[in-house]
Amino acid sequence: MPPPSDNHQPPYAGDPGPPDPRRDPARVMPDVRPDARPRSADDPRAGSARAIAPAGTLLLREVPAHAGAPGARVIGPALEEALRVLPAARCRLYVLTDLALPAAAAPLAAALLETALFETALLDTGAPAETGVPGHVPRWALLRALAVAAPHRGRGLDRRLLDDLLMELRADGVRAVWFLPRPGDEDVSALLRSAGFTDGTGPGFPRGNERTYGYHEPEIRPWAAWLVREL
Amino acid sequence: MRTGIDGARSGAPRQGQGQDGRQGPALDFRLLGTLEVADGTGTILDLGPRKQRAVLTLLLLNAPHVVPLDQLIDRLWRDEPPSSATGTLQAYISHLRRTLEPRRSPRSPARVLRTREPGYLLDIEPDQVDAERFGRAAEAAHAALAAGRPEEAERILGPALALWRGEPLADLADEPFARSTVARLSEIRLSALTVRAEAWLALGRAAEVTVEVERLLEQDPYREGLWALLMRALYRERRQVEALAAYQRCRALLGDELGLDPSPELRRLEQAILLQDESPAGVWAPVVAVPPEQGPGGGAEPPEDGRAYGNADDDSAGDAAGEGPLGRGLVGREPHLRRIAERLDDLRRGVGGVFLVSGESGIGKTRLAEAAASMAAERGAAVAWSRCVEGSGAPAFWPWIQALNALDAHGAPGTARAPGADGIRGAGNAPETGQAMAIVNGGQTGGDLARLAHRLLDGDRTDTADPDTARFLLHDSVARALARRASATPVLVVVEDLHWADAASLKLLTFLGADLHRVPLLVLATVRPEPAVDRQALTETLGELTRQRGTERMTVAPLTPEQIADYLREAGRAGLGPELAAALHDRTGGNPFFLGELLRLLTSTHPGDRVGVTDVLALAVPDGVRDVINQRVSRLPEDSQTLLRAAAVIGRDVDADVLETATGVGGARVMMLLEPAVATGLLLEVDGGWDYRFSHALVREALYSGLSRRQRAQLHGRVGEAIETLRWGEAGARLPALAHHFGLAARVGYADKAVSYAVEAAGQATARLAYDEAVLHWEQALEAFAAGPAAARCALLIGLGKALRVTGDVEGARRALDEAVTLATGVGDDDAVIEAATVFGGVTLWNWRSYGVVDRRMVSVLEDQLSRLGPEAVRTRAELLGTLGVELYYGERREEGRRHALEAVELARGTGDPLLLARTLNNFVIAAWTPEHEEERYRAAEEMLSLPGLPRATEIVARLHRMPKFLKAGLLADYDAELARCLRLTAEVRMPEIETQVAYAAAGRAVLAGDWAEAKRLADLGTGSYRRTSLWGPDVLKRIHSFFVDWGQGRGGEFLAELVDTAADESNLVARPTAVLAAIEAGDRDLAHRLVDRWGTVAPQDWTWQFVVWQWGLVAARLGRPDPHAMLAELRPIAHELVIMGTGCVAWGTLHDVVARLLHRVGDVPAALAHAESARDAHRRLGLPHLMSRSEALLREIREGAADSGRAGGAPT
Repeated sequence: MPPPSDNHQPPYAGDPGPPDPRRDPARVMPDVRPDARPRSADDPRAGSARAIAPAGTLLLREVPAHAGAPGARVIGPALEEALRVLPAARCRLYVLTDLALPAAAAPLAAALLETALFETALLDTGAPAETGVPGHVPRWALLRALAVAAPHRGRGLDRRLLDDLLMELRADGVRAVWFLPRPGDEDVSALLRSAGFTDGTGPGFPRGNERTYGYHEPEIRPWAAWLVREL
Repeated sequence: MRTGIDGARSGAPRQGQGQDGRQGPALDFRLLGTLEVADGTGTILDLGPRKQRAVLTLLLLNAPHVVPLDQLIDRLWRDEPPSSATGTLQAYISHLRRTLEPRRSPRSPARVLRTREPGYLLDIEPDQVDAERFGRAAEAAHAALAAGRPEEAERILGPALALWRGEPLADLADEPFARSTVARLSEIRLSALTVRAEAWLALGRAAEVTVEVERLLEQDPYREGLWALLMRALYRERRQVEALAAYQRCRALLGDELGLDPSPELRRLEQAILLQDESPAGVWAPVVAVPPEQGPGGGAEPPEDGRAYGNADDDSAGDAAGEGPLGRGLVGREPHLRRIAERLDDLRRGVGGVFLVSGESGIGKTRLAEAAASMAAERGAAVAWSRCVEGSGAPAFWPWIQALNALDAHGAPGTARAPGADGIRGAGNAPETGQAMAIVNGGQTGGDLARLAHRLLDGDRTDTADPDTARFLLHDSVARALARRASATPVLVVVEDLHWADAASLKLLTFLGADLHRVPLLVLATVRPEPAVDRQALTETLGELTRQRGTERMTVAPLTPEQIADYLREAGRAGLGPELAAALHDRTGGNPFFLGELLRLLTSTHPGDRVGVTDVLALAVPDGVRDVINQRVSRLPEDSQTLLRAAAVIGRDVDADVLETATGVGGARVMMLLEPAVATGLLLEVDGGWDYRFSHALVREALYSGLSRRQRAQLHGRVGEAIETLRWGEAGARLPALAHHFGLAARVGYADKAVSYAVEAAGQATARLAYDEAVLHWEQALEAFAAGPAAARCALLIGLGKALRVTGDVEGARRALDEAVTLATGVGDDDAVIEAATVFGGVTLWNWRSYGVVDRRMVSVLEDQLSRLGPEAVRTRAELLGTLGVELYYGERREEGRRHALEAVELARGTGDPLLLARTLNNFVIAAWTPEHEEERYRAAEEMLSLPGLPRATEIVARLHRMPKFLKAGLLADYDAELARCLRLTAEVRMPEIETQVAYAAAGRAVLAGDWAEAKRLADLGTGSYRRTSLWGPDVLKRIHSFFVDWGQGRGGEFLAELVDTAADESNLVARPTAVLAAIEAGDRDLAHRLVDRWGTVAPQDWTWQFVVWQWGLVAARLGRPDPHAMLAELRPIAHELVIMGTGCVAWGTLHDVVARLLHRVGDVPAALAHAESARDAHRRLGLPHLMSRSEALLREIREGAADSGRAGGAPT
């Protein structure tokens, strides 16, 4: 677990970074910011403290997952491993970029996800869906890696990336995100727990996907100690 | 929302419509059971997780009206910070959209779940909701039964009741927002079942009725109506004993559990059964619960127009509209004021209600409420004002405590008439209320309002154990007291900031609202669409009120530009034109608060009324406005904020393609992320496209000013590259944008692009004759180039210098060119030096130096270049020599300059290049501008005009050079023809210097003609465009012109002070004799002498010579100085010429006139008479009446003088 840090100065350019009211994720459990609602939000005349730090210009982007992708270096070997065992269509690579950095600059943080096979959505009623309906919904996603590039650690960017990610997946109709901690994943686990992930020993994946799993990646076992969050 | 990195345009046409939505079978929304949506084929859609279904339910319950975004968040994510909650909500909205409209392409507009400020709405028909269909069927069945058609009632209800699949909203029933809907739907269902049972009874199926009613009583044993129905059915079945037993069961139940007796009706029914009464009035009268007046879901009747309710229209509308001044000083709120007036008039007829005024902060709700209060007072109504307070600082019921106290202080009605059956709750038509009323009627006599207020403040002291009953009693006391108060005088209660009201106050408002349509009391409440704090009670109250009769809601919209113009007029700033109103509208989006802030700022920075459009545009965003905007932005998801900032860099109008490309985010995701900004009104969607527009310029500016310089620069770079990549439109159209964005990104690595695009844009602007823009782009290029190599910078400076020269900014041009020469000299770039140094040798009418000034540095640069020039560089030599000739004009080396220019002409003639020849000829015309070379000059101008392919500006200049020849010779027809051609060409050239010079030529001609008004108009025109240049002369020319216009009308002393002042300057030598003339005209001959002493009477041999010597001649004839003989020597040889100053500005009659005056002065009467006659003849021939009468006056004067002196004995010699 990284030590709590109050240093919000990014180590580049001498420019204060975007205001990030969140503290280090390890320190904050619920996602509540007492200062988030300005007390005088509705009095147009009230002079509230203006932000001194420049406004945030961070943005989540999805990039094609391949070996040389932006963010590949941040993710590390997990990307290569995923690409080895999974079809690229099931890998999703997200990067957190700063629009106020040169376009070619490396991303600040990145996350790699694996999504379920596209189901021909079996609905709650059990009735088969109309065939040919576009927009197949992967019902779950597996977080394979999440990392912040070394120079940008300690600014809460992991939490920012995770929140953006969850919003994306939710909009996509993903219902649950899973994560299987492995040795060395303590930081990510702590982050996920602070973001509402809980131990997931409950219902696993749909059978089809489970089989796929067993085939491709025998070392991941459904009964292992997963972290899961419903969306 | 699955979009890849390249997910920009998918090739779908912009206006493409999916095959979904309205064309296909409609979606069916079901809430009579668990929430379900079925698509056109009947397939049940997967509505996702619970929160997502809750979002859909909230929208459904309010459909087809907008549910504000903040309301959704307050109801579903009250514990989360707004920005992340908004993100979560947006994610659900996006996914719901895909579920509801699966075939919609990601970039076509949603048509079921739509975004509309201030939130979202489900755009569906009432028929698409099962509860609506059921509610309507229940009403129809009830009506059929009441009309005596029980079969029809039963037939209607069968399929309607089959819509029920379980408890309403079974999966969301514990959500607080669902509770009232669930209760209402259950109630309607029970009512429908009762109607069906009644229908059965009427159809003789009493046995079925008993079974059914027993079943219903199991669910709800306290309904006396059901008991009555059961008794009647049993009695009909001839099961009299069971019927009486049912009565006993009911009585026991009510007595044991509630301590109540059965209602009189039930008792009468029991009596009827006991008496074996078979009359319909006794036993057969059906007791059917009255179905609610509006359908479920609350959306059946939009509350927007209060006329939908009751009889509030017809009689009062007309006169109210025309009545009195409606809220003076309120601009753009006429419809609101009219409607409020109507509602206030309704009070006289005993009709009140709740009037909600909603609108964003700063929109002017309070002003409207104030107007309503004064209108109410005018109508004799009592007004009570109360304000809700933000936060939990105020006690419960606070607004009502204030209102009650205010009404009490207002003077209680003299005799508090007992309201009796007309009390606010009326004669309870629902059994439950009836019972409660009975209790209340017993004990409550109604204290005065202040006591009631005290009771609200102090807490309730009623002994009732049940809190619900206690609350009812309290509410009822307030209602009765208010009703009593209102029965004496109509009452307006204003509740400000209802969004901050405490829950207790809101409940009381709902309670009162139910019956206000029968009480002359109007509650006017102001409310914001987005509740600031977590206010579930508020949204429930608003929903509940909306369903009540007599409630209406009016939205206060932003002001239009016309309304802003009215506003300015009312604010006493009428002088500010419509352009200013438009500029203010553009910057404020019509928000009166923003407008007020801006005007306040303008007033402090620009005291007085002299505020222009540029001032409005130049103002920084006022702090108050910036705070408001920043707070609104901070409630959006962080990625949305990022995108908005990038959009702010693009500009007020945001091209979605540029935004996508610049941020690397796909189109669908951009739409998703920007949607909350659209829902909260920060952005507008541009009709018929993907693009966006900031709702106010201030929004964009506030966002932009929140970025650091580095952030701005990087973002501008990205935007520039995006525009570059997209290549939309013709290349020319995007050059300025590219120059702009790369220019602002120059410091972060885009300097090269910035310079090259700016240079291109400058070239394009020049080609389009947009010289000011060209200057702008050159400046952009130079700015971006700050640290570039000297040689390249030199080229930019020369470009800027040339552009400035054309716009007439001679000073700026010289600065730029001087710097270019210095730089080029430093790096030994002779070509650049020559290019910079010869700019002032271009084709112009005048020497572009101040009068009498020689730029010695430029002369030495030119000479240095000439000395080092190889013999083969003929063209360059010609240019340098010509320029040198012009540069030497105002010095002692003028004659040498003339020879250089002549040589230049010869060299140019040798090259055979007509343009070079034209240029050098023009140099010569300027360099040789002395009295003795006049003929050569005219020949040179003539030769210029004979050259082929002459640019228009060059042609005008050549004609202007030649025209004084025609005027001096009195060839006015030729002069006029030339002038007409110049005027025509000028319109095409659009150069200030040309406009100036042609206008002056025309002004001089008007002076000659004695058309003083026209002369003044043209001179003003000329001076106007002249002032846009930085050249010497506009003031002095204007003053000389004004003097002669005045002088021509027999005046002239008026401008004395100004002229003396102006002429003091050495460079305004030309105005010195004018000033002396003015002194003489003013009758101050002493001053005239002193001025001559001070200045002398020089007439330099330059372009001013004829004009100056003429004036000194006039002075000499009056003053005797300068020596009249000397003046005669100068003027006699050119006595036949007409006077003209340079190339125009002032022209006068023939010089015979001044010669005659001088001769008269020196006593040569015969010669004087001869010249005076010549002058008169010339003026007569030329048709110049004002000059002719002058000449005739002169003739008379000379003759009379001669006669006088003759009488006195001989003329002096």
